[in-house]
Amino acid sequence: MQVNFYATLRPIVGGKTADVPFEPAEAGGLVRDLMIAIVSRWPDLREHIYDETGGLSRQVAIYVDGRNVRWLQGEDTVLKAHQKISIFPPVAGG
Amino acid sequence: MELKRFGDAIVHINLSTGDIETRPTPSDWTQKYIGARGLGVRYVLEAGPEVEALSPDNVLCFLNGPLSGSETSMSGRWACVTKSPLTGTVTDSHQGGWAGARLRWAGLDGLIFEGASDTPVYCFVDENGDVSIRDASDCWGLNIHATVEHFRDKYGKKNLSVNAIGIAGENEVRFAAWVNEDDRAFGRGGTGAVGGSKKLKAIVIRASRAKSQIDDPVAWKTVRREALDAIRDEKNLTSPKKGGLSVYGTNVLMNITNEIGALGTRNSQVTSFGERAEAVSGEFVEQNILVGDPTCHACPVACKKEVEIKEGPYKGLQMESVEYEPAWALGSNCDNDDVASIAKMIDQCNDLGMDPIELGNALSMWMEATDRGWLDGGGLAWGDTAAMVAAIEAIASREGDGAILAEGPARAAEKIGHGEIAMHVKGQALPAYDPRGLKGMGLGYATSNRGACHLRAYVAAAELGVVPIDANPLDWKGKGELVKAFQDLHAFSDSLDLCKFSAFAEDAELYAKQYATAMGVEISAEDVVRAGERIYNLERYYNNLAGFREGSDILPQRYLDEPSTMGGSKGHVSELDDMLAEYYAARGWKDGVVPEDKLRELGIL
Repeated sequence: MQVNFYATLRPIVGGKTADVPFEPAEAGGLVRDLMIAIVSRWPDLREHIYDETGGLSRQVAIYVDGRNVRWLQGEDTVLKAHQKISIFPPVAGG
Repeated sequence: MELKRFGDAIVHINLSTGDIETRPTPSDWTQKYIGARGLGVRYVLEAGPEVEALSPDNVLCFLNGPLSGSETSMSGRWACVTKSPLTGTVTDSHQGGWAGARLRWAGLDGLIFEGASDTPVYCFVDENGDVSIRDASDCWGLNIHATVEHFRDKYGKKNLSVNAIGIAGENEVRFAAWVNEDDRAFGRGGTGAVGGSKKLKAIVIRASRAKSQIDDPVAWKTVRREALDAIRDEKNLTSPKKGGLSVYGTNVLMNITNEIGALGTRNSQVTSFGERAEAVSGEFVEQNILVGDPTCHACPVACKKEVEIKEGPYKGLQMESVEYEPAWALGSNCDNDDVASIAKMIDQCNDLGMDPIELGNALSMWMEATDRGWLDGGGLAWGDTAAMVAAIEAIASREGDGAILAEGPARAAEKIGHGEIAMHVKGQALPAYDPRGLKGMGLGYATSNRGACHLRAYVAAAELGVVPIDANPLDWKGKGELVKAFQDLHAFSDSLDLCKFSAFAEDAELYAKQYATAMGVEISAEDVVRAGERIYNLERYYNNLAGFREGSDILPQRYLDEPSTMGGSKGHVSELDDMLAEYYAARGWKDGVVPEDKLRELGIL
């Protein structure tokens, strides 16, 4: 599955976009599973994606077709093929 | 040199008579309204809400806050407060760099100009705080970069800050700005036009670093360290060289607002720039044209981004800074994905002295009017960068159609009979967060006391999840209380005057502790919020007296009727009426008007 990374996450994955070895149809197709696949490939992302309790960190914003999974079903959000996945660290300004 | 206590040294300068007098601020004013923004509003109220903005009766206040220029982190800010020629409301605009700090180091807390000179003048502030008004006829007609060089030739570069208006201010373009030697601006609200109307070309300050006089230095040092640690915390986007704001600057926002459908495109007819946003993003700038990270006084974040254009028609241009707001206003808003041209146009704004947000909205409005065939010849095509560059010069000079657009997009659109295509609130154009994708920001625009503004209530911090407050950007519920909370907190920090971005790392308690230990006052986090509320109500009271009454808090109809077209917000509109009901209940206002009992409760009357 293709995943877009932004800002300070890009140097970690080495680019804007990366193919993650994960297909939504497999393993239930949840955001949780996608994150496991991502951290497996880029272990340095673990501290950005998970908090101390192992849950999704407040320091990451995961968007599925432009909607933050925090306001969907969090890690239980079901993914479908061809959805746009984008992952941001904290970003704001003015 | 050790600084005096804040509020003792406000210099009143009458440009009509030449009288210069230093007077302390009434002590209950500094108690109630703190400094900078709050204090300035009180002085503007004193001048009377009925004054014409571009008349000698208007006052133009340049004010520090109690922490400006101190060793406090992110304290390189000062405020310009006046009645806006763009909106007719009170307005305050804040500038970074070193100018405010230098004024403080010269022993002064503020400069308040009234009246108007018959001939061009500038204000000179010397090391010891002596203030004089001097002839500026030899630099009238120069733009800002040349004006800065003019004064550097005259006084030397060391320890010198120059704030100037360019030809836009001289020509009273309604969104003209003051810009300093670091290209930091008092950007919004047309403060530069007020300077032009008074024939005030520049404020030149020569002062070397001085130490703050602090009430409790030991405790102050401890809380300063606490604030600095919060700013440096790697979990915060302010973290030097690690956080998104520090690494990429404010333009780190471009891709996320694009993603969620909050990046107005083609004059907000569309809500996302799609794949083209990347080419004007902070990430692209950092990878391709970034050459430096200049900073302001006492700031470890260094969010400014200096760039150099390496090819094309603007090759060789070195400028700062490609910020998110102008990158949007002159970028997707005008259907332009050429970052080099955006850098060029921002540099024009810095030199001519204009607000790029207002400018970008004027151009995009004109492009839509052209596209719809509403102009009788001429006009501007979407994304025609060469024509945009030319139009900017024409606006500053008030030549041709530039004279229409120099009035700002709201007046210009009315003039062509299509006010509905100007995206503004109370006459001031909307910034870079589409209210259909960030609902709280829309309410913040509608209820901002200076016209549409993203910085009165930066609710985006919550809606984008960078502060620990849960706020779904697409849900309107709860936004009334949230916007009020942000407005009150920011009104206080703008009055200290600390950079708005400090709020990404600091809270009301930390503001209270820094203020208390510096000034020797008893103040709690609750008092901070209360003072912010008082300042916000004071501004609203002024606006009510100036004619902004029931029904003034609105958004352009486009955001209410035309659903978002792209990105995560697709299908959404702004539920403004629902949010306003919540907001007025939280404020205790009646349809935008502050009741007398509320004014008394807050100690304003």
